Amino acid sequence: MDGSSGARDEEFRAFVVARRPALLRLATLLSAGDEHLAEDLVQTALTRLYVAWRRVEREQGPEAYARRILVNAVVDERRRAWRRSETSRADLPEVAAATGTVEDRDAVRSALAALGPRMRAAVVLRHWLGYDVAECAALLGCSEGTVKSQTARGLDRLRALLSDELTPAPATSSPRR
Amino acid sequence: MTDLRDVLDSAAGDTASPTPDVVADDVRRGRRALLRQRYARTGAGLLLTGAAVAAGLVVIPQLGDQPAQTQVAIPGAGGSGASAQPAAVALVPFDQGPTPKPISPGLVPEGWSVSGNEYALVIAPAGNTTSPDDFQGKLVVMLSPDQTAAPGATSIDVAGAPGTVSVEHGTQILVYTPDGSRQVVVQAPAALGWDGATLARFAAAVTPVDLRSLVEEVVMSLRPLLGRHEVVIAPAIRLHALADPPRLRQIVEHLVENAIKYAPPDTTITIDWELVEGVVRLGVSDEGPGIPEEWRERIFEPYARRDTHTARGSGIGLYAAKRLGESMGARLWCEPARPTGARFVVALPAAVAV
Repeated sequence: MDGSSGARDEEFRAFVVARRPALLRLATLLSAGDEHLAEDLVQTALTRLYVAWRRVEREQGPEAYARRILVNAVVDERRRAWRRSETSRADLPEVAAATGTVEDRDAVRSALAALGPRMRAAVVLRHWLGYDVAECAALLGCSEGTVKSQTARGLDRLRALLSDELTPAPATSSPRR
Repeated sequence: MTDLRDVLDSAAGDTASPTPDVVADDVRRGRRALLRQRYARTGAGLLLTGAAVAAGLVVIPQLGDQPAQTQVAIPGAGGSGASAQPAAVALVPFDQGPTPKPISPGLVPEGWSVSGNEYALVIAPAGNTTSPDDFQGKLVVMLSPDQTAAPGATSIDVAGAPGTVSVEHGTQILVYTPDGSRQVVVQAPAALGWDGATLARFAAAVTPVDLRSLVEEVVMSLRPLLGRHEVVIAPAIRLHALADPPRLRQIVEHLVENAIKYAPPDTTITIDWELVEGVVRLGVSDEGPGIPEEWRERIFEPYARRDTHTARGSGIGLYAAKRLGESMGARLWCEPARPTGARFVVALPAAVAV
């Protein structure tokens, strides 16, 4: 432990209290609704965050760092040992999704599971967190063109799966966290 | 027409705040990972860790964000909390000072007093401390779950779970009991206001241990170290072995960490167990290069390391694991894994087979 471990603990604890729910929600979407995997991912991300706390604070900020870990864990095949237990849901849900009910939520999660992990991450980052294309590309480690094509195809897929006319939120609208 | 953001927002789940227990667990996992990282990064730390496990007790300073300037006064042998005239000894941060020498087995290190099974390190302030603030702070000890502070160790805060460390401007001292079975971390603040920290030494407490729970706990704690290795816990059968849980936990940690060191990335480390004639065999297999037959016993000797390009670490981990096993009646050996790699087996008496 370092000499400032007490301060680190307090700052980290405050961050966890404030931001853990948001990270868990992000992980839930990135893992297509697998809540156990989402919890696992968040625990791993927070553990790494604690270790790197001082550096992260100086550089990108704790939430951005934690998000990056979550996204990397999902899109990087080599780090996704847990994916073996991920259930493929290529079968399309036949329930049209509105929002609000458990059934609707499950339908959306099933639809997300039918997307590839990178495509799913692109859709979530772009249309839920409100990242712009450049931010998505930087986080996903790909070109902006790839982000655009992935999000477009992802939206098409979701529309087909959910039998609904999904409307992407305006790029200028505030992100959900 | 439905707003995609609303759809995703609904699918993301609720926004309930984490419970205090969840937050505490997050902090605890972080602390453990940080400690592990520091041990791993500090070559001297690795060497000393090995030396400590091999030799018994060792007291070493630990680097911190602010190097310790503390003078630690260490009286000679006597009861814990003794107030003999101190002989000041400067603790030097790792990265600035000479590497302390290992302590020979059976030799009571300077500054330690022995009374029965208790090993005590007495810390007293050196120099004049004039401000009451100098005496404030916490001296926190990381203890194995079944350890407690010895009587009279009023300055030790063991209320938290193992891993609880909260000291400002601390000087860290690593302490290993002579059989290497306990790892205790004591942090003393720069201005020392306590008269003692007594560490009790306990005999192995052998109890039925659910292997799955213990192995899962170890794997979870090592996740930050896994990198591109995958750990698979193979068996479905539930077995209980007679073991001292903290010691068995450390053995499994040593074996998994060993596999991480020597098996190439993107390979699988498999942990399994089976019941053979009343004996539980807990195996840790990797897909590394394996260990030649002539080395399968030598690798358990202290500082025995094969000269491989992947060799890292102190060369003491397997020796420590074997010693830990022997201290609670377990056996440890190495055999070839199938189809390739090394397999380390811990044989323990079975408690219950379901």
